[in-house]
Amino acid sequence: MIITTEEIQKLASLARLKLTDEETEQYAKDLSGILKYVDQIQEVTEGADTTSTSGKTPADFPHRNTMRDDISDQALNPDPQRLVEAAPKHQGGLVEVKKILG
Amino acid sequence: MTIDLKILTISKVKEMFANGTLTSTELVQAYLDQINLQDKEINAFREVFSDALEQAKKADNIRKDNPTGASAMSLLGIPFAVKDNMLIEGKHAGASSKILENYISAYDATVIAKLKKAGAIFIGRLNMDEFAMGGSTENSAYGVTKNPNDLSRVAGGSSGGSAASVAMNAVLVSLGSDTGGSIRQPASYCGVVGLKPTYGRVSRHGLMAMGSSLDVIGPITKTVEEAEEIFNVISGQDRYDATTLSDEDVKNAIVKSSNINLQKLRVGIVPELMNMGGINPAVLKNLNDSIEKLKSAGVEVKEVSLPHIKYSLAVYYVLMPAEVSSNMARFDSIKYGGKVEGKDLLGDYLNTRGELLGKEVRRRIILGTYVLSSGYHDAYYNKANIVRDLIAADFKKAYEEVDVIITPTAPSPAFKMGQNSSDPVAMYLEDIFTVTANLIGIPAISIPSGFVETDELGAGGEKIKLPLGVQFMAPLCREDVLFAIGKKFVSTIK
Repeated sequence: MIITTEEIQKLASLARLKLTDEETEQYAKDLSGILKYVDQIQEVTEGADTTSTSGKTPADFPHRNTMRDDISDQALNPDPQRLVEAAPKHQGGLVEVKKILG
Repeated sequence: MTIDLKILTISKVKEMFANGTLTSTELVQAYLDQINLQDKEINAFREVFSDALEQAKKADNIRKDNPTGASAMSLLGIPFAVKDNMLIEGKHAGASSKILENYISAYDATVIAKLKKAGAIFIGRLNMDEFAMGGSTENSAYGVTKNPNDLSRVAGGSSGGSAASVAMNAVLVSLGSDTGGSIRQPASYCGVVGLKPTYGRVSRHGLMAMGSSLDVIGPITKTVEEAEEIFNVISGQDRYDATTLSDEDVKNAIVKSSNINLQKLRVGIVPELMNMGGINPAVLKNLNDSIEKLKSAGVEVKEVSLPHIKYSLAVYYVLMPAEVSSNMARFDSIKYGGKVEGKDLLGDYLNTRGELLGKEVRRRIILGTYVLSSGYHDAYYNKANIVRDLIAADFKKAYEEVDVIITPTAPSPAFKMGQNSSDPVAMYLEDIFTVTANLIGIPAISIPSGFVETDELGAGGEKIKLPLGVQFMAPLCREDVLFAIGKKFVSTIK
């Protein structure tokens, strides 16, 4: 699989990353190399009849869904004010962002 | 007073605390001296906490003034240092990234809260590959951590500071995190013990997420006994982390391997792994020597087949970046961390993430975005999940024959700084033995297994010796098997 610089630009824009031209070229080379390595999983033909397992933990795992009531639990959160203060820009207990709608 | 830091373990320190020959304050002072002496060169610490001595004094006072309270705290006054991706309330935590340079933790990670409750104190935070992405700490935004055994080599990673700090006797014990080998590989490179617990046995609340189906926190120590003691304190279900296992989950998992006799463990070796090439001859020889030592100690060793394990690394380098790309989306210049202004909101995102995230982090985000993008999702992400299940099924079958599997921890001893930095695939290959345990959730431990002598001379004119490690992998929730075989193994090499 060869990845072009155009594809890297598109992926970077989807991932919200600004790249220099030099970085774009480097990543195109790097990704092509990495994908060439990971492409060996395409050799595996078994398991293809199983339904997609995407997003779940391995088959034998002791996990199950963990549910809780949908109620506010103050104890679940640290002091909200401290979380707001972690924002690079905040004002009057609120996180500040640039205008989203024109 | 002079303290021989090299011989100290948690139990030795506790004994000295109890008989009054050592205080926590004296111990912490000795570690601070050691850090002053060595860490300018090694760079294991991102920060030494200014209140380290104060914490120690407090612990000493509890011991003096409140013996009943003190006896309920199993780690009272024991100095820890933690990887820079775990939160300690009121302290900086930065994951060795520019994007979190000024971030101050708003709460304690669950592991930290548990250790604090047990009386542990925290002397500093430790260098790592940025956001735990790497195997050498060369991806830290604050410089590489050098290997205490040879300053021209890396300490390994991503928990390089965690391993180097214990190996250089700058702290008694440390915590690391392991997504694909990040505790075990640096432990092996530095000659210390590193434990990756079963997925879900230790809470990740307050750990910066990298690959959420893979990440786990564990201890780095000088001995197996210490790893066991810390694991017992930090493990357990946590309401703040829905992926943690309940006592019942653990019991149900253990039932599946209830035929294991800890006194008579059967060890499996994997020819598929040993014969695939790319393994340093000294590492192979050390593994064979280790196996012989186990055999002479009466341990049964037999071959098992894991036909899909050769795909583990490829599966890992699909799933991990996919999870990275989604986890790293939270660094948006709004909620926390640094910000590089743009002309609009989109400009803020692009500039901040483009300028403040390092090269490897961005490489993995782009790779993850690719494997999750429409058109490639089936070929990569779904396919990798199918192979992940096949690997888990192989292990399930192998564990009918053996109780624990042995491999080298890494295919080579610690490598030279800069040696692998121009070729990402060469760097990724260092994870070849470790990623599988993360993919299928099983516990694994790296234990020092001897040294390889190089042709290079150290400062004193003697040949430099590099530590090697072996890895043991046990069935789900069978950390007890790792501790048993680990102690047995250590007794054979002494």
